[in-house]
Amino acid sequence: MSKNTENNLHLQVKDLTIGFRTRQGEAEAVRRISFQLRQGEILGFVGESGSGKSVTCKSIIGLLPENVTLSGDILFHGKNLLACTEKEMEKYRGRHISMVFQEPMGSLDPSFRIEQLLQEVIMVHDPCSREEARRRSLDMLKKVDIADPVNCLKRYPFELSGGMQQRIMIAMALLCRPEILLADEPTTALDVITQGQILDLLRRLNDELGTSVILISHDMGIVAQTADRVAVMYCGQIVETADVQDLINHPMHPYTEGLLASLPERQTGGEELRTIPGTVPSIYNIPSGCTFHNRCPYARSVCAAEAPPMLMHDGREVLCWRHHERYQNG
Amino acid sequence: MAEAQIILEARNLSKRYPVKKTGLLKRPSVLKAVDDVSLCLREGEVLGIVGESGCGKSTLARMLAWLIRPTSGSVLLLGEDPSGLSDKEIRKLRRNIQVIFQNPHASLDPGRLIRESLAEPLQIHRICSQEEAWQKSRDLLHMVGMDEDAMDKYPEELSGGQLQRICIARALALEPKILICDECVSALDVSNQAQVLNLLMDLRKKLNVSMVFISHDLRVVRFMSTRIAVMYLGRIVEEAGTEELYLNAEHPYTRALLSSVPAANPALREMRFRLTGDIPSPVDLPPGCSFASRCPYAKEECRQWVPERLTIREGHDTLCLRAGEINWKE
Repeated sequence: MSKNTENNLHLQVKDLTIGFRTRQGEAEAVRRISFQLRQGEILGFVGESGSGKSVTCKSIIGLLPENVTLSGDILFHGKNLLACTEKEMEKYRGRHISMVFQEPMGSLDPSFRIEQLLQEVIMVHDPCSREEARRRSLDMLKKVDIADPVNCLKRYPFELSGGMQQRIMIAMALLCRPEILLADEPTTALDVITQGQILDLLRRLNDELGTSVILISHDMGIVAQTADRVAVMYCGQIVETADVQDLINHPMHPYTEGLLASLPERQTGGEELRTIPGTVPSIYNIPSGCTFHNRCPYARSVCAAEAPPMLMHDGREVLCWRHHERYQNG
Repeated sequence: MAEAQIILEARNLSKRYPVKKTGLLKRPSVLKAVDDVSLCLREGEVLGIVGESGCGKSTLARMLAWLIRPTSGSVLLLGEDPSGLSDKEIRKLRRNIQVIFQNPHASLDPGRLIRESLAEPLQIHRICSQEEAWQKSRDLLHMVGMDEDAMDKYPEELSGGQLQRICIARALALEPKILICDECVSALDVSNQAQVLNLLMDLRKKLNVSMVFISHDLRVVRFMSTRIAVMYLGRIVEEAGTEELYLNAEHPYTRALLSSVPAANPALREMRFRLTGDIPSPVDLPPGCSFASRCPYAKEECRQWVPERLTIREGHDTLCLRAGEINWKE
């Protein structure tokens, strides 16, 4: 089965732009990004804070605040989610598309037991008898590796460790077997061993249930260990998309190259780490031309003058003049 | 080559906190935050301390800087034990040891100009006149790679990476011999993190400061340290030179930590050794090895005896009853 045919696309995002009206004026957090999520894949989004990863994720599930302006298309099996009313979105949220957030404790209502929290999800989307709901809850808790599910149902969120709470979040998100799971920095609040457990769990559930996952992380290591394909975001744009192996071994965009080189693990024998000079520009003051040109070691005059078009080559996408010229000249 | 002088030493350091009793007849419980830790820092060394949250890293760091008093055991700072000294003498001694904390936003007074924060240590220790203090602050800013424009800014006007540079500059104002970095790059993005790590390495060479470098991120600790101590539930379970630890870890916990590091290399996905369960509560620990409840190699005697610190090779100590017995290739 080819993964590339239209039918296997869960999600198609085209020219998505997300703007915020703020006191300092209008600012675009995400600018004309396009990507696709294929059935059964884990797509990683990586980038530094403020690059627009979370906002992109929240726009898919319709959780952005009032002061945003959205344009472009988010097609879920052909249906444009951006054109949906709030009422219609409620049908998708939790049922077809779910989300797991960074801070599990902030996302679980502290005044309900785990059983009530899980039951609520089922009752909203797929009403059934209480016994049935309990059976499904227990099933799901087993799937997310909770050692003693019966006991766990009786607990309040605060009685559980961070890792357990995140498992509960994932269980809640997957209860109605959604096609898409959005995971926004799901392990950032967790310790390294627990983080490993949760990432393994995400990969296993992706495999067993066939749920497609969008995994957001600022950590290239996490994405490399978990995702099938990776999109690198910088300053509100996707600057490069590729299969994980290709991206890590042969980064094309200078920003991706810089990100990888600045990882401490890539360094041996007391050498200096390579760094990306300068800082991420503010979204109120986005550079002209290519947004990365003022930090880019390869920048030339065209880079400052004109924004590069997306180059698609050999299953990869990259937003950079350098490669554009190379492939145009053969 | 003669061994460098020991400038900071901890001898059987423990910190216990009483925990509020939960029942009328129950005896109050004890939380052992740090339990019988001995270590030494030699001149020019960077000692990395790594462990999950709650393992006692920060408590240990604070005891080393004499910010909190140990319940038992002693600290020798440049050969002197601060416990017998007056406050005035302690202040004098403390010039030699400075701490950089995780969150630079919290460690700088938001109501003060950067110049005031930088000059404060010089004023407290009455080192120089106001004029000289300003000049020195300027030099410090240059040393950490910042413009002197920053002198007359407030912390909110600067980014996290810049603020952390200021904290480093302030810590260096007194020309300390020892720098304690407690998760000092954890709050930064990858590219800022790389810049700050390079800066620390550079300063270490230039100023010959010794460091205790604490982090939960093994990648960062590996890059910075010459020796690494691994902590679990208040104890140092393994200590060795950096390369030795990475190549020949003998404690199962160290092995688990190392294989949980999300390396930016998708090929390493499958070769992982995972622990199950969570770190137990440090309150009223059961007898025996504190890691036995999660250790896949634990035997009956591990639950009965507390292992003694064992030197397995020169400069490589571990706290495991089964040290040397386990075949890691299985």
